[in-house]
Amino acid sequence: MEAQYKFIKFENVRMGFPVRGGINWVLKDINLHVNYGDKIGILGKNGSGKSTLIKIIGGVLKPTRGKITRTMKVSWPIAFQGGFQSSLTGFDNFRFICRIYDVPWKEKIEFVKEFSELGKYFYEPLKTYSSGMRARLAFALSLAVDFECYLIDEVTAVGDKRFHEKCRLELFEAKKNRSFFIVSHQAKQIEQFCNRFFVLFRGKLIEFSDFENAWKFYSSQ
Amino acid sequence: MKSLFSSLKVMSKVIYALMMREIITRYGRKNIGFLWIFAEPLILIIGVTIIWSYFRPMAAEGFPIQAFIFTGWVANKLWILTVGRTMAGINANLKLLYHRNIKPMDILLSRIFLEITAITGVFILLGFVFAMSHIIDIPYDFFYIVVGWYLMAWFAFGLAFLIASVNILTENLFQRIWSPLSLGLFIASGTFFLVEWLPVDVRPYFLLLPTIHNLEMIRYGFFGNVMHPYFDILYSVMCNIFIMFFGLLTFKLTERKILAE
Repeated sequence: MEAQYKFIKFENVRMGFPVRGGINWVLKDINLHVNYGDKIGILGKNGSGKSTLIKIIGGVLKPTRGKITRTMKVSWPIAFQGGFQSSLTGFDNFRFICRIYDVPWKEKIEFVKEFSELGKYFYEPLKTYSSGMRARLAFALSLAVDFECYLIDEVTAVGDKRFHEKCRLELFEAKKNRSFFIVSHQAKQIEQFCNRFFVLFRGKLIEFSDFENAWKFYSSQ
Repeated sequence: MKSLFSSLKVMSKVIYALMMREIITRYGRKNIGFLWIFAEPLILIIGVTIIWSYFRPMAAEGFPIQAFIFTGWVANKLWILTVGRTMAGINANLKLLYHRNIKPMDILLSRIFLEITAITGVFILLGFVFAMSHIIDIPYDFFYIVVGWYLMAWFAFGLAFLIASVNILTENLFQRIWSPLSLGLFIASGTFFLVEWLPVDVRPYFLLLPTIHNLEMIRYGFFGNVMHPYFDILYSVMCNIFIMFFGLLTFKLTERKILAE
């Protein structure tokens, strides 16, 4: 598909959750058009609805109102570990991801083994892993599938500095012409990698022309 | 049409992946957990045979008690286990919904297919072993066994959708009611009796359950004219259509309530 036909479009998207005495509107009338290659950085305080927004983009949640058009292949949140089955081995979990996303596993196994640095543990059940090992495997699996748009919910520091650098290279260098959604309350990564800057404030998604302005608004709340 | 075809392709791949995952988790690698699925009816049948050899007089001479227990137990376990494991499977797999290709429907279908396949496998394998070792006789007519079993599997399919959806709607409350309820239905569905043993005036009430029709059919296929079967294929089919329709409808209504954690 041509790059200009790849986009994500939000039209008057609203998301509410039922609470006592009515509906709590977490997202209010969000309109957004993301082209292929856009790198979206979203700043937001805790509880501002960042994770809800990521879930809606990823298609995990359906919005209460409004319409979303998605013509890009969107990832699951990078390094997400929830889909792991801990009585299965790293290899089994890897095969599962490959089956779901229709990736020939033989082409990716070397990459995943090398990247996750699990050694022999790749063939052991996940319950024997340390949290760092799980995180490395999760990251490796996220990179094994080729997506057009990556969702990143809080770039958490995985492993040591060297591994962190490896992740940065694989994600932001090797895949730098893809689209990204980075949601964070930390400034550094968003400033470095994004080219469009948003603040999620009281359910509204506000775009700013540059990082300076977005940061100023965000920190003045 | 092309998009329908490609979605079906994705769906079948996802269901296959989910089934493989569950098989490896439950049965795979370094454990023999799955042998229990054979052990349970096996132990029961051995126990019942021993007790029976002491207390004969309940039924006519030559009544095939082993085949009677075997058919009742395994056929009713087909829907009980399918419903129970489908209900549990949704909660266990909620986090998988982060993968956009996986829909709640896929999780349900993969569980239902897996359960029905596994228990059908147990039924065929144990039946074969029992027949070979002369514990039970060679069935009288396979036609009734196949039809009865098929109707039972269809019933399990519809009921699994219905119960799993009701459980989602009631936020896992129904799960608690289901275990005593299913035990009652398990007994009322003729696991330990034939319809002909019941007093004439209570038979119609028991025959409201489609499961008892299916089981009578399966048993008739095994015993032949040793028993007088009570079943109505049309009634069972109508019940299955009705339950499947309501199951799918309730599922459609609850689908939005199934949220990834």
